[in-house]
Amino acid sequence: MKALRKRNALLFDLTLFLSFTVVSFFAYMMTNSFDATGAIASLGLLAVICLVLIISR
Amino acid sequence: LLTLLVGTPDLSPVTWFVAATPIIALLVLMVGFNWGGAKAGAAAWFVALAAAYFGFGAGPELLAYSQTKAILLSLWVLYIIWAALFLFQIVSEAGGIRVIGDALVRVTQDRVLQLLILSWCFAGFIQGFTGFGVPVAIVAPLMAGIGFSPFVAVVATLIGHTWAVTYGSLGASFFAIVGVTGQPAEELASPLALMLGFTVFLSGIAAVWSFRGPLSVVRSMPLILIIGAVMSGVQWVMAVNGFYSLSAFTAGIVGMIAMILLTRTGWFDRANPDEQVGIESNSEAPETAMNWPRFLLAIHAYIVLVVMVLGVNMIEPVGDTLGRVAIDPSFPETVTDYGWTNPATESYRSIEILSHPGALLTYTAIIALFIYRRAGLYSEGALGRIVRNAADASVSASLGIVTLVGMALLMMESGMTYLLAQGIADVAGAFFPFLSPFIGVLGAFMTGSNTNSNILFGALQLNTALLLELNVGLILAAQTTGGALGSIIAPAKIIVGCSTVGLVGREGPVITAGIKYGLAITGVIGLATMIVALAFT
Repeated sequence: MKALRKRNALLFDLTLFLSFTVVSFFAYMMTNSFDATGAIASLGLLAVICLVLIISR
Repeated sequence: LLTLLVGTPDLSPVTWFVAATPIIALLVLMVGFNWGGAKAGAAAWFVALAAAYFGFGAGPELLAYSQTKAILLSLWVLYIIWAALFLFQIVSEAGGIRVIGDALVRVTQDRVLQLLILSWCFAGFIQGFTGFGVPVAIVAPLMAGIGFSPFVAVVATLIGHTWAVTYGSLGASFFAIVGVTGQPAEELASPLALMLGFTVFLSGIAAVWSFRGPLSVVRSMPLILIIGAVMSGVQWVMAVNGFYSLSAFTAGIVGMIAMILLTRTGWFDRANPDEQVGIESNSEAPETAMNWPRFLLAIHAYIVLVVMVLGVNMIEPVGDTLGRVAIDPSFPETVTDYGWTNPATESYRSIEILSHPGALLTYTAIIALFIYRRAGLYSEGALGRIVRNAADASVSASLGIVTLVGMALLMMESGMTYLLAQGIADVAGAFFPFLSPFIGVLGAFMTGSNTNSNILFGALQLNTALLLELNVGLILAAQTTGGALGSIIAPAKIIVGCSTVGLVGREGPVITAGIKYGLAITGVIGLATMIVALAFT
């Protein structure tokens, strides 16, 4: 993951940021539509993004 | 114990520690392990998620909605940061920063006086009508551009603008504490302005201290006392006369003019070449005459910005028309297993795309780009460099902001932040006046905003003051002053500052310095509050 980020840190970070933003709005729609299941799915996605952020630096 | 907590686990050292774990993790990783804001923020986000779920009974729905609220809050702040960085790069690429630096060197060659003019007066003036990190985003790179080290530029600006935070942003934080406590604005205006007036002097002293230490403070003291008296006096007069929105703005501009006039007399201009600490390059006074058209061309962007912000805020039809396009979802009520309730809301943090401060910065940037281009100040490929430099500085910082605000919202919406503050209030007892500003600091540390700190803790401070029979105005003044001082150590603002001067990923030393100066000033404010409380009891 670190090597991937090294190739183009700007693009990598931009992708992570946009993913975090989209998933955070996605959390709103998923929770509205599917209650706890939707909430858990979106929180899981956010957790994956945070994990990628940590191990890529 | 003062109050019963509703909606959180029983207050005990264990629950208090659990509530504090995300903050502890963040500080340990940033200060102890030198992790950057984005990486430490992501790790602290996990800690907050676990603590909210296991320790505070926050269910998945509450946690998920909190993250949507967090991204709204983040985008609200980031809109400003992106636009401010874009504007700065536009001015910088046209050589405007160098011109402004040259002009400043003509006013004074003394680096301490330059630092005071920029980080204390100018940053306070910008805070008066913008806020939300804009002063740091504009002034820190300006200082770095004229030769101050990036570290000094960020730390001094973070400290220097705090006096203007509560009455800044056209009075947003003041109106927040008035609204949340229900106290009459005219009764709060004077005590708040008096305590913030004291902060004017402390922030000036601390900004100089952070640059060159105590001896330099002694040397600059007459100037700090005179200009401090002018700025705090103007802010107080404006506030008690009901001009809440313009108090900090007017104080900043009057202070800046007074500072330049005083400096021009030469009384305080005693440059010492042996004291060039924290400076990357020395500046000599230019020998040619001042080129006023060039200077006005360089600063026109900031004049346009002032006019635009005031226009949109003062001319209601303009603000209303532009404010119609907004991202503004409603949220349902969420409740933890302990009963902590986040009420349903029709509007959490509306992002008014066309009238937002970030939009005004963007309009300014586009106008400036056009004018600089017409003036022939850009070489080939300038636009590409502007976009690239702005993106380089902002993307990594944006990641830090979203993770940190995500963590803060997890804590706020699950009742953890409130339990932390209540713990401080309960332990303090008779010493509550001393600790009152620290609660304000905690709120601003968590949210990066004096306004949010006042919304979060205004009612707690009011209730505690009433229970302990303390002067309400005094305690609320301590709250909002603490909230203003929290700007110095708020990771979100530190990341903004670092991103604009090329210190991305190296926020650790800045946060260490911020904690040192921020807590020292808060301690002095706490002592002053304690003394006044004892005198009035």
